[in-house]
Amino acid sequence: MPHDPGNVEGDDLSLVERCRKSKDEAAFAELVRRHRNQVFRLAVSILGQGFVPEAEDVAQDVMVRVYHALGSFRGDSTFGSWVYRIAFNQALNVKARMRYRAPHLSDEVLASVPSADRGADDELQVAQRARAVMECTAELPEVYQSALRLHYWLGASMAEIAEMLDAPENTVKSYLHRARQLLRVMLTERGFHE
Amino acid sequence: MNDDELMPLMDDLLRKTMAAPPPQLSPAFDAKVMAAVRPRRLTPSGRVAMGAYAVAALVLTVWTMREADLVLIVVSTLVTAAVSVGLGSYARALACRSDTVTR
Repeated sequence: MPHDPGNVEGDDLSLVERCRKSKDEAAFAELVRRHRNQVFRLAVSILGQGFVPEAEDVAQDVMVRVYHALGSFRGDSTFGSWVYRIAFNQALNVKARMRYRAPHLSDEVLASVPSADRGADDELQVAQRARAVMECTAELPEVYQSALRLHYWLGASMAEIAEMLDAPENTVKSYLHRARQLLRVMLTERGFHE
Repeated sequence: MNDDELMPLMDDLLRKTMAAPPPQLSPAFDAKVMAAVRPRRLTPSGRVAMGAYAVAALVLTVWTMREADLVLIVVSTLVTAAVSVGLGSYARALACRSDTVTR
């Protein structure tokens, strides 16, 4: 875990208590400040590239749900784990609802447009392979997709991914290894070789 | 090539494919969340309008039902109260949901 659980969790728990007892807005604002980025990164890692505005909506929705559900937080897990579990489930629900919606035109799509600097054939091949990687990634199990995007796109450390996915670090490493193996098989089947 | 030799290649390919800059939350995120959880209160003029409506509705109801049977009055009062509570909680749920989807 990235931070000292005793200290930070103690602080989180005292803030939760203040929210519960006196509906302390400042305490809840501090909880939002501490966890918003992780919730957003987790949501965007599940929804994927091209769905950033939707991920922000999910993060906002999760924070509102957390506020209304503070009374049901029993403290069996850390506050962060509890929030990230809500975020994971909410992002999956949203993803299921928008399964057939096309992603927004993203930076990586624009970046893959052939340029005059490189040979057009090279550029096209790189773009096709990048597209194939994206499509194959989207066919992986949800937790593998999330781990891959958190690690490679969002630059999260193993400890951060472990915390967000509520899994031991070794399990996260095995998710990543297995995801890479599956991707290699899928890409080979599509005719992309090393 | 065996698995151990191929994995660094896959690692490199994924790094290149997912090289786009990580997205950031909009600066207004905190304000939107806090606005969504803050209890909403009527403005003073809204409170006056609601109070006037309630008084007018009460007077009209009493006048309309002045000669009605007592049982009918009790039954209609119970039904109206139940429907009001149901619609009120539904409206609050709708308002809460629209807060979170409004960007």
